[in-house]
Amino acid sequence: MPTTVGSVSQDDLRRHDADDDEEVRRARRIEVGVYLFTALALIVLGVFFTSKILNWIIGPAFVVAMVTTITPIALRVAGVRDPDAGTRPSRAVRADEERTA
Amino acid sequence: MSWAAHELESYFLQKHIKLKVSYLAILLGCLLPDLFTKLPVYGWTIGGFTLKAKVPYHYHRGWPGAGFTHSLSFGMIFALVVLAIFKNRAWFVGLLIGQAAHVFTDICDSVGTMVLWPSTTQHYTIGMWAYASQAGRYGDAAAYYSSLGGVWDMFWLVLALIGWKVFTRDFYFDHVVPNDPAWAWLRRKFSLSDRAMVALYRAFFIYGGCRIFAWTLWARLRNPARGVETVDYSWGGPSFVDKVVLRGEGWGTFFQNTAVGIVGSALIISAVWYLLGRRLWFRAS
Repeated sequence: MPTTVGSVSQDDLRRHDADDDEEVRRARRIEVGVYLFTALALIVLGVFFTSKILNWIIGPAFVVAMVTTITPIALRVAGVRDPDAGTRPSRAVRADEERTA
Repeated sequence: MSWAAHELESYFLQKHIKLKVSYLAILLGCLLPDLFTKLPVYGWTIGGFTLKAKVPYHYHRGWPGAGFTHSLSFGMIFALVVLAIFKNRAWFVGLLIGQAAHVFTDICDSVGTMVLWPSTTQHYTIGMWAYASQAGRYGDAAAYYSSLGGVWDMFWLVLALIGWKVFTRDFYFDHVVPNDPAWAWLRRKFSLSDRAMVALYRAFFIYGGCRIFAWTLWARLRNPARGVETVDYSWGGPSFVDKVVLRGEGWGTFFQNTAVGIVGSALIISAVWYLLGRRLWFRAS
């Protein structure tokens, strides 16, 4: 027998959580795809530009830039909610954390 | 010298160390010995000014030269300086482990490292592949990725992949971030999202892995001398490069130097720890 809390049943809540989990998993799969694409791009560019891109600064910076730029675009194109949206600390939060630190 | 192994070993080490340790410190430690020495080894030109070591292997691994950066004592001193400034034990331990890993990894080439400097300038090497930095960056890359050096890099890549859990978000947020206040500082300073933080953490793995494939493909497909500089997986290879080999002193001298080195290093490290390190350690968090 379905239990209810207010006007929302617990079954609905559970289904909603499962949908959320599935969406996060889908977003993470897309992110893995972006990592693979980034790795492939880095290898191809590395073969041609060698030490210009394969160095301790540009190489890792390229990975971070690609993943943080392309993933939100890929998620939007796929119509998947970005689970990392809004995780950047706001200026107020940063100032608060700075004071605490 | 090793190429991608230095980036990849940092992930493996942090997974298997049971102490509270900073990943960033391990990574910095793994890169530290080459951080300030690599540019003059290959030569660096800016404007009309060229910085290039006359004898690259001697500058890089010898004494007098910058070879002391590839010794355990240097790692200890550098880690103590960081402990004094930042008062963080996880960074101290991470730097010690990372720098020691670099010192022992570089033993594999034909020049090796002065592990026990300053007590002895004895080089320790197993001569698995040829030291060829005198051939320049491209010559060195061709030699390294045509020899057991490339296999060595691949070994570290496989080891890192076997411990794949170390790259998960859960591992990062549950183990890496809490052990190191530097991540919170980076987040505040650069307003990083969770995605950017995780990407930053994984970046050196992706870069290290890609570096192996890119340079190997370059050596096989684009290297102008690829017809001559072919794959040679013999011990101490490749045979096409004019490799640096240090003059052997004989086993008697080797064991004598090693005994002096072990006793001297133990005394120096104990004295530094007793006089300075202990106090800094207890003052740190």
